[in-house]
Amino acid sequence: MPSEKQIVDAFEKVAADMPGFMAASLVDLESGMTLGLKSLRPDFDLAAASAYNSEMVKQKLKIMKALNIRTHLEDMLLTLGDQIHVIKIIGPTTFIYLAVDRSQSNLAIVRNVLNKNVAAFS
Amino acid sequence: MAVIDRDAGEIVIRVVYDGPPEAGKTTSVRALAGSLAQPSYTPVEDANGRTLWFDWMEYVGGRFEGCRIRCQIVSVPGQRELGERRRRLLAAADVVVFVGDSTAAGYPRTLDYLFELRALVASAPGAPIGVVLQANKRDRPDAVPIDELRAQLGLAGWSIGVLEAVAADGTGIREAFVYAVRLALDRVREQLTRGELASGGARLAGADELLATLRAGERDLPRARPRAAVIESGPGSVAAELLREVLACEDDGAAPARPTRGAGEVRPPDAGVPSGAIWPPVEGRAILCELDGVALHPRRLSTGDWAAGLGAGWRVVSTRDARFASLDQGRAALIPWARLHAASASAISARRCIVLADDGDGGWRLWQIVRAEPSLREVVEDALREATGEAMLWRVCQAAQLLLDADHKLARAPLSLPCNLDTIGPSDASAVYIGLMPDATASRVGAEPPRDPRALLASQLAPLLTPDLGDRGGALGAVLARLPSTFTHAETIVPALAAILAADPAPPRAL
Repeated sequence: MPSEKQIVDAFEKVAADMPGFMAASLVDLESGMTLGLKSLRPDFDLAAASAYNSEMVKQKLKIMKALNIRTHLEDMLLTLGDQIHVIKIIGPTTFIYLAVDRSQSNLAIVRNVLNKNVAAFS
Repeated sequence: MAVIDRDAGEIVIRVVYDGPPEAGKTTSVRALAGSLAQPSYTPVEDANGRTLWFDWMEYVGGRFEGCRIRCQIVSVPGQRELGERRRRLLAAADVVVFVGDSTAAGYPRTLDYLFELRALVASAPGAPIGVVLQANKRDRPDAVPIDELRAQLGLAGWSIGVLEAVAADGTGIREAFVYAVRLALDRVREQLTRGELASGGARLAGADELLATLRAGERDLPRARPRAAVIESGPGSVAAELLREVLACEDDGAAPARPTRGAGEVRPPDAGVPSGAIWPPVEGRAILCELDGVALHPRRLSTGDWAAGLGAGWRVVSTRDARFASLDQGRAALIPWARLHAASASAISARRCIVLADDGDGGWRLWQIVRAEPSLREVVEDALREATGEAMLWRVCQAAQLLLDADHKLARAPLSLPCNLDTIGPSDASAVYIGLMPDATASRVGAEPPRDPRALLASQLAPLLTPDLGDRGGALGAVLARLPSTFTHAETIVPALAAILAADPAPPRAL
């Protein structure tokens, strides 16, 4: 697992490459704890958002198991009125949670930048 | 707490809504507020929208002795872990509206809380406090027949008004309130006759003052009741050893106040811990904020572990080896421990967190913070003080049921946790582990071998029940046989208790 500094450095790169970057965190799936984070919005409670979103990922994994879907979960996309939230699964126990300003970015850019930097979080 | 303010021409009475969790207290107060076109106020709720302190509303209407009647309407939090808060709110009641869940599922817990309330109001000084039972959820298909409820009260020799209600749509709420106000005024009349009625301005002017008073009171909570040598668990259990040490400290008295941190001391965790250093991330931070009002002065135990919050209702503990040179090293220990907690979440008490905090000496220390919850031993000890055999045995059966529920839960937990009257506490309708968690290396592989539930009950309950029985065992055995077996595990509990009451308990087998 990368250190917190390595995680924050990787998010710095993501933020530099991604227009509209608001906040991002690397989250431990089982506990919902952030392993490292970067936020440009002090009013965005990233720790709470990460914890609640880990519950959502766990529920989705349960659904897949219940439906006997034999593949892996790659990412989850949530489109809000003015934001895009992306959950990118990094491994069996971690995921990236990312929030982007929708007026300054789009899904293609978000995915592209995330995929380019994802190795730094593994 | 009724107060007459002749200058303002008002008499202030306190109507307290009591009852088990999720029975409909808050819904009732809000329905009443809607019905009376008054605002209601709830200071803080938990993540599930449940009351943590109280709900509040005021209503001025009607006259008594030429004065306007100002009703302060307060509901209590029903969660077991907030029992002390509930008792303090009830202590100021002029009348209690007990909101009971009358569905088949909620009925046993309703009776449990109701009998507790009975003991509380019976021990209150001064003029008697009236109680009205608002039997809620009458629209549910599995609602217990109202005659059965009345019969249960009759069996216990308690004659109180019972009114049917559906708080969700407001049915019966106003009727219960009006009936309660009449009972409160009966009490005021009695206080006037006895010369006990306080006069002057209302001592608690509003919700903010009540909240401040409760908060201040909890900062000064008395230390935990002595519980000498009561932790029984397998040898080598780190959690049990630590808990034993912590309880011994609580029994000795709270840690001495130390205004400043000296050499060889550690800095306790506070709300300033960085993000990602606390589990659970949301509720954990709320606990740290709550602890901000508590003076934490960690003291070193004989084992080399650190403990704080003793005597203030919290166990803030860090093991000797839980110090790390860097945040990353600490986090490497924190994450697997958080996973273990998360995987055990359904079996352990909710008001706890683990925190990686700056130790003030260039390192990081891993703490666990656990609210000191009432244990099943306290439940059984309270039950033994019941006035009637029915009430006593009913509550003992409830405790036995919770112990067996917990034993089932802990057998499936990812780590080995001791199950006994001291490590298990009631939580809403179920039982949870209330002790300290062992470290992450304690996780086990595979399921625990099944334990004999009757032997567990005999080993835990017989030492408490047998000395108190005297020659009442036979009579209580007959009462036990008459109790309705509506609780789970009745087929195990009733014979086990019968054996104890017959003073011929089956010799406990190895657990």
